Amino acid sequence: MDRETAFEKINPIICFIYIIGAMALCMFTMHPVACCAVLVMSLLLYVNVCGRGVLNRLPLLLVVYSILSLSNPLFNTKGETILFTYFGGREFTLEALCYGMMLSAMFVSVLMLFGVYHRLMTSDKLMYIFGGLAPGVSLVLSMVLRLVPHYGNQIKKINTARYIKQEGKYSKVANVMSAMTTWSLESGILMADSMKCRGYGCGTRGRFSIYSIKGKDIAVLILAVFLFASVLICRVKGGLDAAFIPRIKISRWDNIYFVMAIWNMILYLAIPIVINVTEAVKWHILRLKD
Amino acid sequence: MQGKSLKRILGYTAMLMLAVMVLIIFWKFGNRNHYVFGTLLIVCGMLPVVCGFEKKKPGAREIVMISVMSALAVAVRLAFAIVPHFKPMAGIIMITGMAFGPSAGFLSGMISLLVSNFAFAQGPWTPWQMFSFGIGGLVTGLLYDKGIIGENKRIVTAIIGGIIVVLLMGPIMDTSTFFLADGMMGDVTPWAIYLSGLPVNAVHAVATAGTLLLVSPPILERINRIKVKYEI
Amino acid sequence: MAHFEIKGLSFCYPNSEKKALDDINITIKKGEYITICGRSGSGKTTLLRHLKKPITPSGKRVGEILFNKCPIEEMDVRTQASAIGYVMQNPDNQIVTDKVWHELAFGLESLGCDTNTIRLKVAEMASYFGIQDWFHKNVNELSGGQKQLLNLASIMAMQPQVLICDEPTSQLDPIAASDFLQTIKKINLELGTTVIMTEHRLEEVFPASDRVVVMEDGKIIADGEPKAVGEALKNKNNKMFAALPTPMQIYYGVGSSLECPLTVREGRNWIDEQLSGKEIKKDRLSEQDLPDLYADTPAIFAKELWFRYSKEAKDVLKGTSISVPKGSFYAIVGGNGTGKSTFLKAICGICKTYSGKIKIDGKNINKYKKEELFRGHLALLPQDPQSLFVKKTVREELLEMAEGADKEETVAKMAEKCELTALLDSHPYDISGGEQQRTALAKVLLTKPDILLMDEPTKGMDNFFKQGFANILKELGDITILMVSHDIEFCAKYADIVSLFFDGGIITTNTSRRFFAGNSFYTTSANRMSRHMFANAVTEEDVIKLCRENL
Repeated sequence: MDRETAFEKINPIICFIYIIGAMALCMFTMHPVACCAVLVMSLLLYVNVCGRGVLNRLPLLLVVYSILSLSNPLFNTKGETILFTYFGGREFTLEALCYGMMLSAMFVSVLMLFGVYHRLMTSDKLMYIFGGLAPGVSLVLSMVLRLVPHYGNQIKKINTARYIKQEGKYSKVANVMSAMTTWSLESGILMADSMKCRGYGCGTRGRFSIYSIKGKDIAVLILAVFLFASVLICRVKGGLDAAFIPRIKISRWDNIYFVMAIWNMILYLAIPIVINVTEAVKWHILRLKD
Repeated sequence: MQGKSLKRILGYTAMLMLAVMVLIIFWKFGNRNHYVFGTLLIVCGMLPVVCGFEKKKPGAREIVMISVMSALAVAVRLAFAIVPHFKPMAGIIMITGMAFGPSAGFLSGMISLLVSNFAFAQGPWTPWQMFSFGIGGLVTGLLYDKGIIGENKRIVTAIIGGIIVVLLMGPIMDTSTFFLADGMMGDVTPWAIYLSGLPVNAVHAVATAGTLLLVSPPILERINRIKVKYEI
Repeated sequence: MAHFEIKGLSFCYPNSEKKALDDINITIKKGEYITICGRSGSGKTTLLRHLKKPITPSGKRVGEILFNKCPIEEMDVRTQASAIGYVMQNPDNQIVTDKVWHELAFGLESLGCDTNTIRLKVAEMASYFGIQDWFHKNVNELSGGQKQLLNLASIMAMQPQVLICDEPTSQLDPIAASDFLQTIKKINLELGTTVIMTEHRLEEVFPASDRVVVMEDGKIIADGEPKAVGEALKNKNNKMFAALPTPMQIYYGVGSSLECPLTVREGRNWIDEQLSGKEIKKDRLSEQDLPDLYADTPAIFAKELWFRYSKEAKDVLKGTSISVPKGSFYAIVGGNGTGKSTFLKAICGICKTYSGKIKIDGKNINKYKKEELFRGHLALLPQDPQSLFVKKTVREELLEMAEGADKEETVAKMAEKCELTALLDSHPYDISGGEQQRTALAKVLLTKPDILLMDEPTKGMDNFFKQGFANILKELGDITILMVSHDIEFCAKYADIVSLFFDGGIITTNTSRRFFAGNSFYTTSANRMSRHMFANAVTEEDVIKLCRENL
């Protein structure tokens, strides 16, 4: 894994709330400007958090985007401006196309945000968040995460050991799986013993984690909540209104709520980028001073 | 002790309130976005089993058995990813349900899907898949308890396993596609989605039936030996 | 003051008439370091498990066990969880969670400690055991030694008064084992924790213990200070004598009136004293020259093998060559992670080398079909015998590999050879480690190989099983054996030719005697003890023989 970025050090709960908020923002609006802003910002966020490597996935996302945008008018023929007709009269309308484009932008943004989520919310962070609510399930999760690679190794060992036996592909699979069952259950019994030896089940479990909430985390949370709420208010005030069908009708630049909503959305999605970049710049300056 | 359960209750309440808030917000502003609604519904669907499990205070062996079976499902899936048409995960989850009961089946289905998605990709579909595999484990567990399937009925078990995939698990996963696609493509009927998902589900069903046919008797036998040996 | 008092404890497993424990009486004092030894199956583990309530086996029991004067059944769950720590044999099976830090906190979480307490204790433990460098790692990235240390630390975090260790080092390599035992000693000395330990590697534990208890068939046959126990075993002519540390065995083998040595240092002084004033007439045993390895057609011939696991990874094998003469017992020794096991896998084509040439019986390995190669030519005995087991009984395991018309008879013969006849109907997981290893060997031998490759075959075996195992190997006749091992003593005793493997290649090769006589660190304790007197004594028998001749 690469080095931890600054935003990854934010408390997982706040990080989780932030990402959920970001996904919610994406789904809030169909306004073309807002959608574009969200799309661009999600992309920047995606690249910033997950590294340049994800740029390889751009073509795929582009294909998804195009297919989804173009397919909407095929299903949905409402709209006033007819671009062309096909299949003897079925209409392909501009409004439906625009609507599709907005929806796909939303979808692709959410997909990219899931990429961010996947990178930031590693299993241990997820366990930190839900461990308090479901201690049993989160212990199971932790054990499974520990066992999967361990079992993978054992399967490899069994495969190696069975080199001396010639057998078909599926009979080999069946044998390996039977062997794994016995082996894993037998060692599971010992694992249960080891848990009992360390007092498992002798009362309510306490909870320990290496995470704590620091001043910076609170600051991020307040900022995020403030920006999110302001976008919400602007939305209520009609700042992000957009209708496509039957006619395209969107709010304009002269609407103060619109400008504020867009601006705050961009700011919201920029929080991790700002944190990451600030840290990088600080390091750079520190090094220059030496 | 008291403080902790109070904390937990507060936690649950907070989550519930959050869920309701999110629902209201999306209902009003979310472009009729049903996906969020559906997903919350699914999460609520998983809650009863999870809460039951937490409330029971599971013993060390119980918790270990669920973990072992879930880990086995994921590890086998990862290890034999190269063997063509071999999708063992649903099969192993079903065996878990049969050997350790419906709720253990549900939990290990849920957990193994979550964990294997850490290896592949988390996405909007994760909760749905978790729920779907959980249901698979749960239903097989119930059928086993009723004596409809079992280690002596190898073929029946395999066939019913396949049917569960096609009629239950597949459609649940397709529903996530439906909710995602809803609004995306105008007026899509659920039937179209389910129909288009059928081929994939059929392959999955055949693979699951194959897995059950191939490994369910030996694995169940081995689990039983452990149960007898260690008096579980 | 007594910590544990065990009074008249007898125990039978369900469905068994045989007493697994027979009238055990011991008092264990606070702060004592006590070692319980005995052959496998003597009831050591059963006894230890009786000291920890949650894992006590079920069965018929008489007698009582007192902990701090309180019967162990009446102890509060929480007190017993934290006061009695238990470390088991296999480091992998004890680890529950996926992160090192979480594992350290597991016990404290169970006790319901609050976050701040746990944070402090975890920090303390990590610092005491030097875990801070891998504190954030996944447990799967750790080595075996680190895993066992983590198990120990996570138990010590609960601040137990007694630490029970059930063969904690049997799955570790010698260096990790020695580190682990030193840590235990440190805990005993610095914290005053009582230590109760079972071990079969007595070389290091014996001198460290305050007291040794020897068990046989569920009974205690000797109990006392290490030296006294040594004498008692000698007088009783007990088989356990063969498990004693080398210096003690040599001392009693020679027969001396001086004080009995426990460590190599004491052993050296003892030899000096014993032979002082005597002229050393004979200081070396006859030895053979290393035969020309490349003469005739070697059974295995490998030339400049290069291998790495992936394109980006580092090379594991760096131009390694080897030539194993037909019919020889060839051993490769070397540290952990030097690539020994990989080398074995490369030789039989499981790991594909990207450069180099391998010939088996004079024929290029690539010209063999897979089924031809593994039928009658090569066989690999894996490190972990359990990885070979897929069936319900030992008999079925063997039948799976047997070929030909009269399978049953072939299997019966092989079982006879490997001393498995009595175990044929047992489940392979219900038999002891040494028996599992023999079953694995039998299974592999059923492919009728000319060449047997063995990866660390003596891991976790006690001395008796090792002897039995070696006897089986000797009786195989003209089969060629290539073995990689950490077990220097075993290689010195039984191998013909020994090579040192280091940094992806073979550094030196010689006959077993010359090899170990030539090394000064990486050699047997018998040699380390006597090298200032005798030129080439490497086993206990060698030293005893030379001592006698010079007396």
